[in-house]
Amino acid sequence: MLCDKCKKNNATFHSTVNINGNVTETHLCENCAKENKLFSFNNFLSPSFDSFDLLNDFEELTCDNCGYTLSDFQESGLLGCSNCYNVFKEIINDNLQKIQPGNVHVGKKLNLEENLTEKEKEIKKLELQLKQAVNEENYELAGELKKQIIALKEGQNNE
Amino acid sequence: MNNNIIVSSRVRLARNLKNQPFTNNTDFDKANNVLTSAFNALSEISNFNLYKCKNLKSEMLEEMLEDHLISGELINNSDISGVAISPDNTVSIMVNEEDHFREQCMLDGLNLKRAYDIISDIDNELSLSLDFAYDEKLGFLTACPTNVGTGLRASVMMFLPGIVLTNNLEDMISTVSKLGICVRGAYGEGSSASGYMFQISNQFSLGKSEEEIVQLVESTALKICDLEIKARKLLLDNNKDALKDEVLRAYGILSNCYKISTSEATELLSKVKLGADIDLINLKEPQLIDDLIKNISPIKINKLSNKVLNENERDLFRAEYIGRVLKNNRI
Repeated sequence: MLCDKCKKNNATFHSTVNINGNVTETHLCENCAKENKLFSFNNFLSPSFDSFDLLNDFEELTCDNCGYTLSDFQESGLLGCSNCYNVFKEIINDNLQKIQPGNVHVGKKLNLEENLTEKEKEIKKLELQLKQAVNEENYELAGELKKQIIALKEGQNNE
Repeated sequence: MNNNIIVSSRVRLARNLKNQPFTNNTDFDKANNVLTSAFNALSEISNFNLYKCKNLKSEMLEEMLEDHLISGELINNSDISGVAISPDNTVSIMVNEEDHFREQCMLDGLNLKRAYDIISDIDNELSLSLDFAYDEKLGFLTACPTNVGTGLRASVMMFLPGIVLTNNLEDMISTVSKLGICVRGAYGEGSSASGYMFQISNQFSLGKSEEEIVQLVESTALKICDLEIKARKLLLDNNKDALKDEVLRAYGILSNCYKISTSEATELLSKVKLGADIDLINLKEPQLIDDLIKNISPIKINKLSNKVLNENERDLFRAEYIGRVLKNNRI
């Protein structure tokens, strides 16, 4: 069976829509089906940009961390960096209300700070500095940092 | 029966580094810094195999894509992207995809909870050495606001010929979308539904916990499973002879053809798979049909033949290979 739309390729997508007894059958090839967005939920998943009607009320907002503008967000549907969430807060909140069931994260927390003691935080900080020092081949500093880490860990074990 | 309908379960978490531009807004040097930090952290937590995409041949990348270890977007970013893959191929951590990190775990059958536990443990370890972008109110910050919060997508791959053949697909899709579930083709966003394979996954990521999202996808998959079983029964009750004829014709073509394309072979193998599932055809090893479906793409055929074949040569090789596997498989 040939595609209803292009009349060239074989139809591989078949759909039947029944509205109050009026049955409409559509037979499309893969390319035309993609164009017709059959089986595609991109539209549903993409952020709704109705909120950008509000654009006129705003100056062109720009993220001070990454230089991303509101127009960039509008065009791509993507943000430029984590700081953009602060800069475009109002627009994002408006968007989130439409696409998410809630506006507050209730899931897993980033287990960095709250699960660590002060000493563990200090060790972690030094370990990151150590990694950096090794990457930069600054072995003198790395040796010093390693000593500090060992001392802190020993202190921790003796507590 | 559930095992034949629910093919696999996959969970992915989206994560980004604080103070680094997201991948869509980065430059080569910054992206490489992300990749270096990622590989340093990953090499310490597990025995992952680490690959920079630019060092991999395109055939290798395509094969990883077919095996769902990486995404098309990771390939598009191949000058700056990389992937860490566990030795058993169940866990892959993509770096510099749409988000800096796409951590995923894929297991056979309906196994979302276990997949989530595995990836969450790895995520916890990574979060100790990497500074993830996180906000007290919004949770994990992602390039696209559709992923913010948990950064979680839980998806189940399902084989749904009964629902398609009884024209119930659109009703099913509109019903589950009201529950916050979306249905897509086998290869995610924008992909077509080949061989009756569909991905069922959550639409939202914020305002519900990871456990609630996993539970929602799992319970919806089970409901769809029930619907598929009912649809298959309906087909058997009303159209058994026609359906059996179609299954056996498909088997006949696959066993005897001289050349065959990937799409035709996939379509026919899917009919035989359905036939085997509902006892319209008896096969010694029904699993061989699933293996064939996975192994007949152009990339896999080239690999099997140990040559780089042109399209016509691949179609000939594919027909010969399928015929050889199916020979003597029917009882």
